[in-house]
Amino acid sequence: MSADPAPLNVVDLRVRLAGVSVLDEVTFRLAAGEVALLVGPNGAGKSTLLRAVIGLLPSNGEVEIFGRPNRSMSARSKFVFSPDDPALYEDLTLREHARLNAILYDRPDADARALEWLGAFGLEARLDEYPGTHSRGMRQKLALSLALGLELPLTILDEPFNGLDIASQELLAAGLQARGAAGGAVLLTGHQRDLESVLEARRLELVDGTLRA
Amino acid sequence: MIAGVAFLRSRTVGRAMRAYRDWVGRAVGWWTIVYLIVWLVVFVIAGLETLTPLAAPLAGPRPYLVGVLALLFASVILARRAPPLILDRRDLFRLGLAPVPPWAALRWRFMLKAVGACAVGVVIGLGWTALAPALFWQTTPFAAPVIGLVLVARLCAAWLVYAYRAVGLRAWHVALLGIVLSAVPYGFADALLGASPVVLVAPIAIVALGLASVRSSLAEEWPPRFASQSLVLTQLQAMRLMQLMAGMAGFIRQAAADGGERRRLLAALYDTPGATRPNRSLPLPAAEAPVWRAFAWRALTHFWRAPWWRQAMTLCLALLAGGLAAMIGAGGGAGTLGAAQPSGGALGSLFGGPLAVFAAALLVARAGTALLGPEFSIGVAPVDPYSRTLGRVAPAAGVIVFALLAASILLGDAAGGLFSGVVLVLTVLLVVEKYGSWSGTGAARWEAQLVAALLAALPAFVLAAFGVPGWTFGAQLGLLFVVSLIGV
Repeated sequence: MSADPAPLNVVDLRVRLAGVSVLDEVTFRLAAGEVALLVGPNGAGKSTLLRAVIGLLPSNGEVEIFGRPNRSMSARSKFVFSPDDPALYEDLTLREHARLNAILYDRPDADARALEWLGAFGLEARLDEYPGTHSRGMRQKLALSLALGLELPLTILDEPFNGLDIASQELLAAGLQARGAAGGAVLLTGHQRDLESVLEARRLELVDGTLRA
Repeated sequence: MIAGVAFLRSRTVGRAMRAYRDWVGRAVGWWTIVYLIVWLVVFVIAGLETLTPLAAPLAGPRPYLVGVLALLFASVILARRAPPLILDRRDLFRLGLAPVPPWAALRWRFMLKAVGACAVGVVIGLGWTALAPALFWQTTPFAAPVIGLVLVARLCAAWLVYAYRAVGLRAWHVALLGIVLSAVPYGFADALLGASPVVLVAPIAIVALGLASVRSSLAEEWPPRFASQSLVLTQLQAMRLMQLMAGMAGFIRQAAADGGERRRLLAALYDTPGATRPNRSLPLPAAEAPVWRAFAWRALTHFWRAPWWRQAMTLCLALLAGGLAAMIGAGGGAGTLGAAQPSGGALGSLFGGPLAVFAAALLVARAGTALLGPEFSIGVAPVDPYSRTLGRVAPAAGVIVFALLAASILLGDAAGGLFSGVVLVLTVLLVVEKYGSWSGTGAARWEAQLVAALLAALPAFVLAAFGVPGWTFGAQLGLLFVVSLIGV
């Protein structure tokens, strides 16, 4: 009997953009229940790595999500990604975003969970507003609520702590920790100095496009 | 999951259409649009009524039609690889990454584009139907739907070539079929020269095949570079829209934004060198160099990093401008620049007179602006405008004066003609730079160039009118001195 496939398995991932090597021989594996923090200086390739992992960028190498090629539909049903700059519909309210998300991922209960997260982030009174009128931090909270509400086996977040107030950062850190404790895998990027003090996570350091153990 | 896409479109499309309707109503006015449409219809009807059949029909249009239609599909195979339709950033992150079949996510945009292509084809076809009886003595009632369907088939072919990365029959089958159907009896070409309803069969068949193929190409995965290219194309579209809106609102500087960003995005789109680092660089000026040299370096770098064809065009124009300025000098001489009765040879006679001075000045302005580099708003920077003007003008002046010198030698002109040409060139370049910076229009706009040309030619016009063209060079020199003192 074979072991369950890992939530994320990256082998010898290479990304070249316009002839320039951005990522080189990146190999790592994320186990179920593991929270991994990808750190590195600006321009190290953290966001590029995440985008290559989820199939948004063409790459060489092998990326499998639960044993499936990362760009396949079955893989897409296993992970959720939130970019550093929230991608939101300016003509949908917060509540409508939550509903849309739940339907797209075929997880009806994600609607209520996203609304719970929004309430926890202090946006309960603004559920029927457009996000376009909201601050950067509030938009980030909506994007994170949508991602966390899904409770998918693999959660990938690019700079999720950016723009959040202190209380929300602690709330998010606790949420990610809980997600790991429940068996979900989490991969996130960040470079806040005090991030590692609030988030207990495996550290992956990316320097000049190469992963250091 | 597909229901999620339907939910999204049901919420957003209606709102977007209402917002668009309101915006058009406020910005243009619906009654204005109705008024314009009525007049358009009147003009079209009036135009149609003037059509009278030729005495004899034009012969042999079929080979040309086959060629054009075949080329329409062949161009799809030969085109550079960018997606013919894209998802915007929100759709890409929300729908593109969700476990939704790609076709479901892209269907709305595909249909919009297909309907647009079909509408364009129908309009072209209606025009053809109107013209064909007069030109070819043919009735072509099915031209409109056929051309509409042909353009939809071309869209399908373009997508397939992109999606399958132009490899093999799977990518090319619709395009190749389109080329074949352009030529066969009862194919696309025959639809434009006949009245048989059988001509509808081929376009309907190819569209059905094309749609089915597009759908199957988007059953499971997105094409490998679709997401990254969509993000780049979204930025390019946003940039174009912002420039259009800025231009409409009168913010011309924003509308004529630095093309460097666009070039960088295009390089990223095709994954070619230049996306992350420049292809060509000039040596950096020394850190302790004077400010004007930094501006000169900036202008030269801008030129140096432009595509080769633009560099060639700029240099040709600069050489032409310098040559024309030399001819003006040769025609009028130092003391009679812009004289009504030029004393030079044949070329001098041809290019003499104040109007010729104005034409030369306009050409110098046009050529010079391409070498001035990007606009620079001083704002709070500790930069004096004289340094900015000197630095920006120096490369353009160098090139054009060099051309002027070469042309003067070729024309065998005296030094006086050369001086008058140099004075004209410098005046124009200084005015176009200063006016463009001061007014905010930017030197690249016609407004700044016209102002510069008019001002530089003013002494020639005025003094010729007063009958003292011999004073022109002195006045021109005085004008250059005054302009160089203006601190804007």
